[in-house]
Amino acid sequence: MVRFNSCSIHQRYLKSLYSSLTTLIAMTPSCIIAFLRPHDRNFLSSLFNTSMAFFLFSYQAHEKSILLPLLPITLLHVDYRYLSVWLITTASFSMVPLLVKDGLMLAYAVLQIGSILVYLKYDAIRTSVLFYVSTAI
Amino acid sequence: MTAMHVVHATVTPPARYPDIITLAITSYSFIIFFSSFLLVNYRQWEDYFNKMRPSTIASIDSLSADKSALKVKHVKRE
Repeated sequence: MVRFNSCSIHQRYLKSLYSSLTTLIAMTPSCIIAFLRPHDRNFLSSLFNTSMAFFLFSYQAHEKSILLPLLPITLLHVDYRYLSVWLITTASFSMVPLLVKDGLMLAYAVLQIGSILVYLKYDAIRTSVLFYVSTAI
Repeated sequence: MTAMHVVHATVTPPARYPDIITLAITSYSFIIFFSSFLLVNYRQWEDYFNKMRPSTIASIDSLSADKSALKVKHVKRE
């Protein structure tokens, strides 16, 4: 029993170590660029990349951590018109199993359809075939 | 996303793989999140090796031009 517990703790330690290393490796290139050429767009891009690295690779990340990369990508909407909209829609979509469990599907559906209708007012998104394909899939 | 919503709502997953639809949703989301992460990284490195793209400057200029168009003229009342 003691051996099982120690093995479990060891495995957990290894997992957290691997995820820490992966997170560090993923966020380093963006931080180097922000350090070498500091201006506002690089700062926001680095914020996005770092928070996305934490969300994707960190150990036991919470679902609401996706809100952290969504803030800088929304501020970068001028540069990433289509991507920012697509990410916000996908972030909501990724939480569907949890929303079903909490009985929040009606609120989710109303907000999702409403936001897509608002996004369709933008020309860059309305004319994008990829947006329709990804929404259909 | 629409098709996945329909599948999630209507199809019962097989007993052997009860989380297969959840896995499909998270895999789809992961692909988009990871590709966006790669894209922003790539654009940042591209900007570093090239000069600043003119698209941003043009869009900021257009925003400021719109703001100046919205200025209201104040008329003195006698």
